[in-house]
Amino acid sequence: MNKQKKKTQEEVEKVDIKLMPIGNVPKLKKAKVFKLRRADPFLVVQQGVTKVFSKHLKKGQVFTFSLQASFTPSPDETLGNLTECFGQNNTSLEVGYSLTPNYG
Amino acid sequence: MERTIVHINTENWACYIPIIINLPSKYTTQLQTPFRPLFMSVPRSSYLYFEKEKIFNHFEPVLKELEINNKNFYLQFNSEPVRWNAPTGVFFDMVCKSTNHPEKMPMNLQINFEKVPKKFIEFENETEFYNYYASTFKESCFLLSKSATITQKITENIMANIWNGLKNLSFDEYKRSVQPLEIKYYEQPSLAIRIFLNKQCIQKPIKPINQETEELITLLDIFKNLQLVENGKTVPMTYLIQGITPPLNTPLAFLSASCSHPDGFLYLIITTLN
Repeated sequence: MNKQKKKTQEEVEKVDIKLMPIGNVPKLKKAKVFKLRRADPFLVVQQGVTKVFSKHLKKGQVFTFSLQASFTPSPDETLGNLTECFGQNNTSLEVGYSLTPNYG
Repeated sequence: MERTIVHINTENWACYIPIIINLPSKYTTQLQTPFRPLFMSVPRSSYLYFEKEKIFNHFEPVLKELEINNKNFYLQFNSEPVRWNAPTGVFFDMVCKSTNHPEKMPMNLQINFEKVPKKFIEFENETEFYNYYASTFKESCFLLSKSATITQKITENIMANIWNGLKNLSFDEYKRSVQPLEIKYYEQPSLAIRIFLNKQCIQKPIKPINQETEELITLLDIFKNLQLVENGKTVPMTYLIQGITPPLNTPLAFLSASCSHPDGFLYLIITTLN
């Protein structure tokens, strides 16, 4: 029996987003990989993280997001483009989040 | 070669786009006094964001007459919002030049004081815009080196100097500020290129040299990769870099060195004609 599983079209069009907490920030109880569409803008990640941890944020606090601890992508950049340029194997992207900028 | 690259960059930085900003009829029909549109020449390599205050000051009397308290506004070209975060020349090439019709000058924009469209990126102040620009520049640098090799050299001082070069529209100042980063386009692991294919952005690592043939990657190679070449010819399309159409055999490394925008990216605008 051929046990090789073919990826569905939907799976190919998705990327794995791994959240990397930086510094003193709220963390997920279990490390989780979020599957989002390649066509989704980075804004989806920003809004998602903010929503998940909204109860932990003090008034006026906002998260800073970074890739490769070097820069913050534009909210309108697609996850597909970002994963291809800065991710792992064009399938997953590690996104750092902190309450203060963590790069120069 | 270096002198040619500097010359082309200097020319690009010296290019201006004439624009006219009008009020939509929904506002003009309510006005008692005659209204004069705003005529401007905006640098191709810069951002319309830097003209926000000038634009607002011109239209402020209209706001008072119409009793509009909203200070936020955005610009539109044929109902398409003009992004503050896109270099002016890139937007112009995408909407004005890349059509079957002759290029229309000046670029005719309308100002809108209603709620900005969803997903439109707003900047509360210049500091926010600076942070955005700095991040974009660092993104291009990271892409060039495929590591933090270049971004680690970008101190706060260097970034501030690069920003000043952009604001002062001085290529000399910009070039001096970028010098410590030692970017060598022909030797970098990748090039920082944003391809807009029918307004959809494609960004991917592109090597300057073909690893197998050891030849420089050209525009034609990119079009083949995008499946825009059939039977040895490009499909019906227009393509622009800094408002011009370079020959297909132009190396991408040369174009990156000579035609990148101040944010570090080379923008290739492609519109298929089918």
